[in-house]
Amino acid sequence: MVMKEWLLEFEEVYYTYPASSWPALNGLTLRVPVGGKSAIIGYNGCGKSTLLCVADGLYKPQRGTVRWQGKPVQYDRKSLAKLREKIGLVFQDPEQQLVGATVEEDISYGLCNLGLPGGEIERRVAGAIADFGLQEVATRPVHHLSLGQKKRVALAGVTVLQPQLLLLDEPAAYLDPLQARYLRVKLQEIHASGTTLLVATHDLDFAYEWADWIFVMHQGQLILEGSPAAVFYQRDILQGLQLGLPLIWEIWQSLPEAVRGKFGEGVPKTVEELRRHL
Amino acid sequence: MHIYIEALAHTNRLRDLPPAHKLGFAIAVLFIAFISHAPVQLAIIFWMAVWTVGYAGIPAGIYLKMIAGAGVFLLVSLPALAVNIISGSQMHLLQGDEWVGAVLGGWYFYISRTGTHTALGIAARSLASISCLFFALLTVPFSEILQVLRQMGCPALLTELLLLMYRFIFVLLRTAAELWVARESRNGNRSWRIAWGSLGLLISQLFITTFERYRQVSLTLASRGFTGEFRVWHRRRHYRLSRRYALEAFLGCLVLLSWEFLTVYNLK
Repeated sequence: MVMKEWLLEFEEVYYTYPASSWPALNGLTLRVPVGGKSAIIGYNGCGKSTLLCVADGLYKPQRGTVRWQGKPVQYDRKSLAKLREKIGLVFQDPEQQLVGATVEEDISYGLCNLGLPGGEIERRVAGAIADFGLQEVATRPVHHLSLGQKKRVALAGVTVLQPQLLLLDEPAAYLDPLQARYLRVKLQEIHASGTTLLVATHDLDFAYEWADWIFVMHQGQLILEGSPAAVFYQRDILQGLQLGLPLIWEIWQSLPEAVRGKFGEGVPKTVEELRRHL
Repeated sequence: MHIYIEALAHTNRLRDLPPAHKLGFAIAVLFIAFISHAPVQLAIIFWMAVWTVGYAGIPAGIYLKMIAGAGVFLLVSLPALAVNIISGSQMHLLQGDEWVGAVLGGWYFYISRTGTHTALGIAARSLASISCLFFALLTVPFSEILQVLRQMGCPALLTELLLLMYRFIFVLLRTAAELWVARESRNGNRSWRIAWGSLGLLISQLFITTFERYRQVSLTLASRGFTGEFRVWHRRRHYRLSRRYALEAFLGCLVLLSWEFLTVYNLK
């Protein structure tokens, strides 16, 4: 049996927000595999965003350990700075993520914090701008941009640091279908360059189509994990958690047994696959 | 209004001139406006209007509206200078200073000559200074102003504060506008009493959202590796130095200064 390497591990993590009466993370144990595309699904308020913030060292759990590459995370300044060079976090609301006055300035912010020389910064910013198609808006103030553009700048500003782990909180929120497709393409490119991805989302269709591994969270705990097929076969558990199932899955399962039986065990992940199967 | 100024600063015709030059020019003329007298100041008002509306291509309507906005303040303060009140028994002390006056009760209200003179002088100086300021605001984008400040050695704390204020003031304005619309759509404006109550709610809500936004931004800054200093990088933008504008600016300042010294000399 191959021992999988865990990039990020949570062990019995408890975290309660300062003025809150119930824990946001309630004994969470979760392991993120290296080089994979993982998705955390759960209803809004189950603790997904808190999990991402704790992963980036922004909050220190009251109990439990967070491990990065096998070693427990230290919460002094230097260690956190080193951790954040390797982990990138993209928040749900691009308004919160963007802090520079212009697009270039915002993308360069993380690089300046690393203390890189000016030439290197210039090179990387130019690369990020070309990569995300931001040439026309490169010198424009951030508040002149549309929401889709802001999301691109937010993602560019984090990927330009070349993190080993990229955390995304509801990346497809507020995006129209075209922008969502563009996002998927970018995530594919980022993954191909060796970055591990962890996405928190409540969009089951996206998670089903995109992820290799799915974590199901509920009330601050990990209920279920596995490959998408394994997770979504647990219909009863998922419905008990008020989560439901991806649309394609539901459609496939409602087809008569005769039709499904012809194509073996696999369930199509996209509309194209469904069409081919039929 | 902010938003128009912003957009104009990025799209005006003088965009490619070095910002240091534009700012330097505005400050030089501002200095002349301070030390000179009315005729020169009126000339400055006219000349800066030519620069702003003529050369930079700012729409005249917007420019006039901005000047009018400043003019409102003048209108409020100038009468206080020109109009005087003295008690009826001291009227004989005036020695012909009044232009027109009226007696009311035991008091004499009049418009004083010297007062009017002072008021008009102040109006000329303010309008001249404001026109220099507007030229700078409307032709130099804020990020470039910050760059010039940094190059001049302005303390990092100040430039960082300005940068963050600039970034988030639009968020604040937009949030205020959204809250306003929300209250309008729920009839928060029906009567004076309701309107005041809604305004109170709006202000308190703005405070709360501001703090929430502050908390979120702190998380973001931390996650992007905040080191205690807020540093950013900009591409070296290539500015084109225009001889024609530089010449006109230089000669114009010389003309104004010599005109000023001539009038002072003649008066003596």
